[in-house]
Amino acid sequence: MSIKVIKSGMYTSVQDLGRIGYSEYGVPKGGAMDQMALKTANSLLGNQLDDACLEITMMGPVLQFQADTYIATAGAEFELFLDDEPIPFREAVFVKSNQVLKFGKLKKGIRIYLAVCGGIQTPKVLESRSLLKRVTSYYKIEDGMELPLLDKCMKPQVFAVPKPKDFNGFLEAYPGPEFESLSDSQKEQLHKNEFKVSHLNDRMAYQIEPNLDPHQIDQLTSVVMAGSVQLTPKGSLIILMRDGQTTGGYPRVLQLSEESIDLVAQMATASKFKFRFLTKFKETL
Amino acid sequence: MSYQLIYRQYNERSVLIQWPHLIDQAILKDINEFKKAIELHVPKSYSVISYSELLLEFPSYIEDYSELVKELKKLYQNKEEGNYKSSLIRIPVCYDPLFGVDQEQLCDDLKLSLEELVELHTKNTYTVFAIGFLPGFMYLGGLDKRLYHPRLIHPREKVPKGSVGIAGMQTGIYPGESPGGWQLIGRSPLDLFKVENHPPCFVSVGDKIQFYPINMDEYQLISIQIETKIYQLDKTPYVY
Repeated sequence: MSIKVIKSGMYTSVQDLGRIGYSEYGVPKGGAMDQMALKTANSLLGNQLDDACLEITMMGPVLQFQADTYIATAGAEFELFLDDEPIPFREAVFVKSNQVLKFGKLKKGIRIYLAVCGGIQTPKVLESRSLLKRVTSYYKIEDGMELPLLDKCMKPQVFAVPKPKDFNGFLEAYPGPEFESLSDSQKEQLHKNEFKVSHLNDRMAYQIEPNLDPHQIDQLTSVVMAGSVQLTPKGSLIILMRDGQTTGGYPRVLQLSEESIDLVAQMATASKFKFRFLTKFKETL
Repeated sequence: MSYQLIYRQYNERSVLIQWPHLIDQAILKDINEFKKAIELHVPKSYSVISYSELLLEFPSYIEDYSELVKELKKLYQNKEEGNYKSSLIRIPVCYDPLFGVDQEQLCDDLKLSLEELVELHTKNTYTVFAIGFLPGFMYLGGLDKRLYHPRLIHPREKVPKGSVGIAGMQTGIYPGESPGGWQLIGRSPLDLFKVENHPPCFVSVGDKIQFYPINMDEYQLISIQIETKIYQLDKTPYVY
C-alpha cells in the first residue's frame, strides 16, 4: 500500500505539524508551512489533524496510487486531474489503485496539501514525519520514491471545513521583544511601508523588501520561532518560517500571528503586503 | 537568588521571560531552576533557554495570559534550589593540523605556539549559554581572551562535522557538515547531534564543557567506539 512518485514536482515534501519539544536542542519545529491548510486537508478525510500530508510547492508531482484510498486537498488552488479527468479541490475524492494524480495550472497560492486516508506512513524521526534538513535522511521527495500508506481505508464521514479567509493585503503582527529599540523612523516604516516578498524565500525564511534604515542594536543570541521578523544591521527584514533556526542574533522586531504565518506560506516572490499591528501584548514585571 | 523578571507574551502560544540582559552564570543557573520548576508544575509546556531568557511554549493558544503569569510568578518565588542539576561534559578534541587547518594562521596572528594554543583552549571550563543555529550547535562562553580572533573573511562552503573552531570571543563545534566562517583548530569525534540518540543532543543549556586533547590514533579509536556504540561519554554532575 503506497503512493508511487512518478515525478516529484518542484519541491514536494512530507509534512505534519512538526516536532514539538526539541527546540531546546536547536531543532527547528518544521512542519507544514500552511498549518491550517494541512489541518483542513486532514479534516476532509476524518484523519487526525496532525497526520502527514504531501506539501506540494508551485509545480505538482505525478503520483500513482498503489491502493484504493481517499484523498483530499487544501491550501493553494491547483487544477487537479485523476487519470486526466478533473477532480474537485477541497473535497474527499475516491481513488482506485493504479490511478494517476496530476497537478495542472496553479490558480492561487503556492503550497497545496494532499491528504491521504490515514495519513502518509513514512517513518517518524524525533516524533514527527516532517522532512527537515539535518534531521531526516532526505528533505524532499524524489522521483521513484514509494510513500507507504495504511493498509485499510474507511470511507470518510463528510466534514464541513471552514473556507480559508481571503488575504486582504495585510499580515497581522505583534510588536516583537526588541520593537521598542527601533528608531521612530524605523517604526513608521514598519507601520506604513508596503513590503514585497524577495526572491529569497523558502521553508526557512522569507526576506522582504524594501529595507528599513540600518541599525547598530547589539543583540545577544536569543530565541526565535516561525513568524519572528528579524532586522539585520543593514536593515533587511527576514520573516522566519517553519524550518528556520531556533535562535537568532538579530533584533526581533515583529512576531506574526499564527494565521499570518499561514498566509506568508502561500506567498510567492513579489507578493505585496502591509503589516497591521495587533494590540501590544501586556508586559508585566 | 531572585531577579526582577519581565514576562512578555511572544505570540498566541508562548511567553518570553527575560532576566537582566547579561552573560552571567548565576543568571543561567536561576533560569534553569525556573525551567525545572515549570517542567514539574506546568503541564504540556516546553521551554528553551538562550543566555538571559526563557521561552515557554504551549501546544495550543494561551487562554488566560494574566492568570498564567500570576501562576508563573508564584512558581518563581517558591522555586526550590537543588532540583536543577547541570553536568560537566569532557569532550575529546584532536588538534592534529590535518583537522586544525587554520592553526598556523591563528598561531601567527595571536603570537602563540601550537602547544600554547592547545593549552589555552583546553584549560578553561566553558559554559553552554545557548543551543541553536544548527541542531546541537553550542554557544560557549569562557574562551581565554588570548584566543579571541575574527572569523574568516571568506567563509568555507563546507566545514566537516565535528570541526572545532574559534570566532570572535566564541568557540564551538560544528555538529554536522555545514558552511561556516569559524577558524578551525581541531576536530572532535563525538556526535553533538544524532537523531538516534535519546535525547538527540547530550548537552543542555547551562552545562559545562571541557575539551581535552587526543592524538590521531585516539581519534580513530573513539570513532570506532562510537560506531559500535560502546563509547562512554564523560559526563559527571556539576555543582555550581
